[in-house]
Amino acid sequence: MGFKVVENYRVCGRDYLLTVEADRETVEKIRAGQFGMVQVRSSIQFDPLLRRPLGIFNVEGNRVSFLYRVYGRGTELLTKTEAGEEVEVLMPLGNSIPEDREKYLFIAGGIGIGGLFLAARWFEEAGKDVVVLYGERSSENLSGLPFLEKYGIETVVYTEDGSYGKRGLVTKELPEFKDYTWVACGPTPMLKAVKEIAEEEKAECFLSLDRRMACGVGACLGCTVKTTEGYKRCCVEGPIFRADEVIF
Amino acid sequence: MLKTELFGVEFENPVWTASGTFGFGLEYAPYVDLNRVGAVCVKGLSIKPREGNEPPRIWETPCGMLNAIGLQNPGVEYFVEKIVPELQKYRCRVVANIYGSTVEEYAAVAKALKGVDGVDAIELNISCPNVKKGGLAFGVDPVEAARLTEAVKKATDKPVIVKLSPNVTDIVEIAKAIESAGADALSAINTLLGMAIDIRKRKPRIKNRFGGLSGPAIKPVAVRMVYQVSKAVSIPVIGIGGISTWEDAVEFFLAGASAVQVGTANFFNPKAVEEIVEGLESYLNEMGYSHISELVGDLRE
Ligand SMILES: Cc1cc2nc3c(=O)[nH]c(=O)nc-3n(C[C@H](O)[C@H](O)[C@H](O)COP(=O)(O)OP(=O)(O)OC[C@H]3O[C@@H](n4cnc5c(N)ncnc54)[C@H](O)[C@@H]3O)c2cc1C
Ligand SMILES: Cc1cc2nc3c(=O)[nH]c(=O)nc-3n(C[C@H](O)[C@H](O)[C@H](O)COP(=O)(O)O)c2cc1C
Ligand code: FES
Repeated sequence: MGFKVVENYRVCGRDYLLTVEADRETVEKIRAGQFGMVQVRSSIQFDPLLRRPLGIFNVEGNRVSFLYRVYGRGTELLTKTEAGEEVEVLMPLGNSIPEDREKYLFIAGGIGIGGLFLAARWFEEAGKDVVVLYGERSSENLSGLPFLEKYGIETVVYTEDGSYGKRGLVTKELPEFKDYTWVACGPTPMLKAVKEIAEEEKAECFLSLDRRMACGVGACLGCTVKTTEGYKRCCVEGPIFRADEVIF
Repeated sequence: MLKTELFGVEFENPVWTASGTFGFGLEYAPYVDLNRVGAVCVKGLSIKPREGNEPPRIWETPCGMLNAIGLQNPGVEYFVEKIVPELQKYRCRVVANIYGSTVEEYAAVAKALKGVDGVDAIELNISCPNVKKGGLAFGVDPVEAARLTEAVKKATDKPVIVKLSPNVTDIVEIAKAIESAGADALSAINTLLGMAIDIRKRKPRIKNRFGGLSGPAIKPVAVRMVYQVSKAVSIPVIGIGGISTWEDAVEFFLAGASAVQVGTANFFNPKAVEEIVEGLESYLNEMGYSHISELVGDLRE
């Protein structure tokens, strides 16, 4: 579906916020943890060919936002999209974060906040106990922070160089939250560490995984995740997986 | 204007979806009106369920992509029991794409589809380059390809389409051998074998090392092969390879295709088939054709 771009601006560092005006029907289907396949080029060219998966970062009225980091050609090209233009987005896709727990700990590594923020916000608004641990290399890439602050979500920031918040890795104080349900999104080494700590602490833990995707709807079988129950498709059976079933 | 009859089966239109790019059709049902799709060629089926290759399995390339899925599928039995009944709720025709690693395996899958309501034809994948022991051997050798075609024809009552591999020296020779063996139609082309390398890790981008190249990048190769094959045989040829717009589809019809399959384009534009169907209709009107069949092979040389 083609949606009108409301804004597409640099938040900080290499991180941008893209907001589109969606329709009521699409917006009502969105659950926390889902993603969209976003076309990064215009429809009259074929390169880069495939759409990019981006987590649904925020929803306000019919406006849907994506917080994205410039990584390669596709995301670089996406920064050139201007307000008033249309972008093709297929959404919402994937499964979602279970909504029936009372205490949630969100563990975001870098741009992983893109896949977790909406859940934190909605669960907070639903009166649940929500804490976000947000880790980054240094202060200049903390693009999620203004949004966490705006919605008053309890957040602990960790930077590797100590330029903001606590110095160290986001996994540093995890055991203190063992009676929470953990949901983590970020780079693979971080997810691996979270999974291990969750096992030691016997905490319930979910991981939001990131795979190369072609279709986003379960048709191409390209986005395989290795699990204890065999191969699963990240785009349909995921992106949210129980940590104990994921094989790294 | 677009209704097409091939090997005794009537299709609402000649725009189909290519195997492996549209799942079992149902995955796309929320986004695509399956009643507007001429036929769904389902993901390649084998006699037993198959896990497929180790990831990573896909890699984007200029105007194309490489894949080495490894023919992951739930097996023909599951397909017949669970998926066919779901597909029967739609008007689209269903083509069962099948493969095996021996003639006997192919014949067994074909047999499992014998008499199954809701399966309109069989497409033999003799060309998939992904599985090390897979179909490649059949697709590159005219004698083996013909032997396989004969065995499958014997095992089933359904029309048999044989899908050609482009990874051969002389596609015409193989096409003719398959026609003589009794195939009802040919489809062309499957993916072109390719490779991409991560220069930092100094490793192949795809775990399987090689992958099949598809998408707009392969279209000129596909048009050429469809042209050569359709000149050489008298059975219908179904054009595949990089078709993303109605203009692309028209090229294939002019080159001699009686129908087309849309593959990779579904990934980046789920509406591709519907848009192509609409575009074809207006093109025919504009150019003064009264039926799509008049366009087939109507190349001015
Ligand atoms: C479910 C999901 C949610 C995501 N959410 C976000 C988000 O909210 N914000 C954000 O910045 N990023 C997110 N990503 C990662 C994002 O999709 C990639 O950074 C992006 O595709 C890179 O594209 P590129 O063209 O810039 O890079 P290139 O390297 O040029 O891309 C080449 C190909 O690889 C794919 N690709 C490259 N890196 C990744 C990756 N890390 N994950 C998946 N595919 C990749 C691209 O889609 C493309 O097909 C998410 C990924 C997934 C699977
Ligand atoms: C992800 C993927 C999976 C595929 N799986 C199959 C398959 O199972 N059987 C088959 O005969 N062809 C398979 N193909 C080949 C396509 O059906 C088609 O022949 C090829 O992609 C060229 O068309 P395109 O450029 O329009 O995609 C696959 C292609 C892709 C991209
Ligand atoms: S991206 Fe195609 S199956 Fe997941």
